[in-house]
Amino acid sequence: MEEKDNIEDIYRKAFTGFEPPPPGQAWEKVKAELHPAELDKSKFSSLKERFSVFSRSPNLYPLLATAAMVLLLIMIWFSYSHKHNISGHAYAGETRISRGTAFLFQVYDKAKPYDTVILIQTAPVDNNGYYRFSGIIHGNYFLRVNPLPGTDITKNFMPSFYNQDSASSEAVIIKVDNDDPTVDIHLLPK
Amino acid sequence: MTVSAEVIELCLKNEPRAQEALYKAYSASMFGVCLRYAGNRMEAQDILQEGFIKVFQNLSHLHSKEAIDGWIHKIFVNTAINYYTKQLKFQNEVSLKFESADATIQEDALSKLSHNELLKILQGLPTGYRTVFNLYVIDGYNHREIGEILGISENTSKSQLWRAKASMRKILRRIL
Repeated sequence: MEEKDNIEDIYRKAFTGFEPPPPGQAWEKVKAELHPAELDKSKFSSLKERFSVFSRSPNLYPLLATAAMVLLLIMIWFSYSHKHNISGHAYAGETRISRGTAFLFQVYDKAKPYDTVILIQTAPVDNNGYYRFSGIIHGNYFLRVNPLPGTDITKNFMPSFYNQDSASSEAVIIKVDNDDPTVDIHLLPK
Repeated sequence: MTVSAEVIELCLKNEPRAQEALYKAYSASMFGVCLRYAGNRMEAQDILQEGFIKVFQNLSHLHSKEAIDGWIHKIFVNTAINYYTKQLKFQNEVSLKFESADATIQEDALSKLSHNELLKILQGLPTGYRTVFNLYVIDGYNHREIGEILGISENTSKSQLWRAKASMRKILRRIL
């Protein structure tokens, strides 16, 4: 039985040639599916478009160059301002040693310093017993001074760490944070 | 034919501007189809997108450019049906003896309903009823064709249509 009634008629009349406005973004989605590479290209070109403001305005070049320079200086300042120096004198008894080598070790884990220690720099100890390490980042360090082999000092003193009070005692950690520490080392007598 | 043969040729070459022209030519009428078959606007939009992707991907199968209107329409109907394939559960056939016992709705009352209200009633039907109603009443398929499309018997198609209209009458009586 294929009887027609008024519901059918009403619906047929209402929806034959029914053309509601399609959703706005539908084409973009279809296009993205059909041309995925094109979509990537258009993303890139919109980026290019943003930056092309500069290429269209040559008078912006000096401004851009200045901004880049300022940025570079800020970066240099930042990197330097966050680096430190460690300096001091090495003593053998009451007198400063003349010549030797200072060793700086970084400690990566304070809880087990001897397992995580790495030698990062050496510095000469001058005739006045002075040594200096520069470009040191925040962290924990051990510092040791070896007197110059073959000198009188080596007969009476041994290589020593900072604040080491006996040959068998542990080295003391030097913490570097916001200041440049001055660290004097007193060599242990033999 | 809504678009020129040249546009179709360019679409076959995967030319985005031609594809957009074809989309613009058919999107409104096909969105109408999608809204009728869908349960809501969101699903209609999904079907619209999926339908157009199929159109462009299968355009080479179009035998005659003059037949493009019907071909596109058919793709959208199939896309909509496939979209709901899992939901399409057809109830057993019912006796159609009592069909004529259903009173018709007052024509003037019905004609007072807006497009939107009519669409809401249609979209509120179970998927199986809605699909058969659309295929039979608006898209002009007969029950034998509907049976072939949906993989059901002619009588099941008839009973689905009857149930669809009975449901619609129930709703209409409530709102009119």
